[in-house]
Amino acid sequence: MTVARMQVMHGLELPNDARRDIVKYLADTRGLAPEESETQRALIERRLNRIESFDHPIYQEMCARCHTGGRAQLQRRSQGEWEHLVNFHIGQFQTTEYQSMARDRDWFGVALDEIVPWLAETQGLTSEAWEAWQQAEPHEPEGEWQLWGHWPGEGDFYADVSVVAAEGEDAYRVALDGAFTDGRRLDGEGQAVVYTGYEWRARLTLNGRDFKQVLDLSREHPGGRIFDDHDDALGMQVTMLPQEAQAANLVASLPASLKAGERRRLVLLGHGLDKGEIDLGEHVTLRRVVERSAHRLVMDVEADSLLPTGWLPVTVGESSADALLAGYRQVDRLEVSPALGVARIGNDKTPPVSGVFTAAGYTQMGDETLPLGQVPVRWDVAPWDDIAERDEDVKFAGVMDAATGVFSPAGAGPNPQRQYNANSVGNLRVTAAVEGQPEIQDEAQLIVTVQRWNNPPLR
Amino acid sequence: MTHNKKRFSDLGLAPLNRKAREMERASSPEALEEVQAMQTIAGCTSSFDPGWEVDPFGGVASLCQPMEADLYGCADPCWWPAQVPDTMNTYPDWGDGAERAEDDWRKLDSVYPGGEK
Repeated sequence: MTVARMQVMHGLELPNDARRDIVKYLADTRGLAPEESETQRALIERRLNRIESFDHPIYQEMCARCHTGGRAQLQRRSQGEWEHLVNFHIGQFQTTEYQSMARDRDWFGVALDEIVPWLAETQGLTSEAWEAWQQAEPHEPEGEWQLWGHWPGEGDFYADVSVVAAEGEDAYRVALDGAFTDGRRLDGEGQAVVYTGYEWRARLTLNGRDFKQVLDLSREHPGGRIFDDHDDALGMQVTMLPQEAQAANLVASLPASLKAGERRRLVLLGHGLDKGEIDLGEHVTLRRVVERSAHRLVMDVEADSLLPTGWLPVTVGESSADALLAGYRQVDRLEVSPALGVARIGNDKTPPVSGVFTAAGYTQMGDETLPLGQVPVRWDVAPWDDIAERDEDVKFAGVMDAATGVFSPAGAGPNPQRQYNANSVGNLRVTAAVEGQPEIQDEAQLIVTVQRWNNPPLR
Repeated sequence: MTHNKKRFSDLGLAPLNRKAREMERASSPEALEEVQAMQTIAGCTSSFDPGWEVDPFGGVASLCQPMEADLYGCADPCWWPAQVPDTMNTYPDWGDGAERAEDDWRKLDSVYPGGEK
């Protein structure tokens, strides 16, 4: 961000490759330790539709009324440098003090007297975490991995990931070979650079579509997000696991639940899965093994109509898991997320931002609530309130895909069909209803709003 | 630090348009602040003048519409610099070649500080 400000605001001319080298050098020598970036992974991964909260009564209205508060939380400065940042804001954005939540107070004075000391104390220039991290062994990404996640609108997927060194410091080539759980192929390739010993940044092409990827390699199971750089909402949380491990284990199941009477593809991920018997309990019959390797087991299975509600016993050779795969007969509760989403109308210069919703199911087992993961639902939108109904927001704001929960916003610009040529914005009620159980529903609010032209990596 | 808790009418201001009337109808200034604070989504401006993404009531009906009609009224005084490139200081040439935003909005480019696009 500092280098970008030097370029945009102070006329620094810098070739892209030199800029990348400088950012790499600064990240490696003056970066953040994993525990220091931990609270802001969502921001780094461009996860939208979050409500931030901070351990300071007015930090949000002082700083995070224009941009995320997380942006400053990812910086470390001395008190003097924090003061410079406040001065910079007044000098660069000169109407800051006249805006809402500034003109009602001495914004500049409060920023210097209340915010700066707090930032200097909680985010000073030096930290034990950073000192310790500089002594730590960097995480080596070269090797064979497997990765899995859920692609909105496409489904659960898994892939073998091969990472090999490429030309350049901490640079790598990536190849993905995988599939969706419905059997469709998933192929990809890309380039990655690791900053600060653990911050993985990659450009990927998956099934012909361009994405960016952010991973935290410092975790036991590196995790992060793959997202469309032009439509941040379209992204997928992913987990990556080394293909080899000392001990056999079961780590994940795709999907996370089976319904009584259902026949479907089941994928188990872990280690040491290539040997031994496969036992999914007396009510789940293994119909066909589609693929079996040490790190993955792909099967067609059938749950009988007597499948009990509860965790299903899963055993593969030496490994067993008793809380990996849930059995259920009906969904008792549905939870749509996000509860409040913001989509943006767009055009080629300001790409639209989709509304991406998911519905997690739960079933009740006595006093225990069993999570089922995403369950099949039908999606719909309606006016949020009387005003939205009067303004016909549903008609103008965009289209909800009833099968996927992905809302495609309308085009940007004044809409001559609306009163006052208003933009195609809207205030919508998003509803999900469980397939086969239409009475089990949940809803969320979707604000379809205008585009933004300013798109820094950290909003 | 002080907060202005007065209603518009206490300040001698009379609502002239729909947005102003709706703000006046809000049960109390405190309630308005509470509503606006609760709806702040990370990265969206929460300043309700009226707010770039949402209006003070958490909807869109009281936004300045169409946005293009007064876009340079946002860009020139640096009013939502996180959303709209400010032509006051940071992007002085942003609106060049698009003299009337209401007609020329298709010509306006996005800016990507910190990115390579």
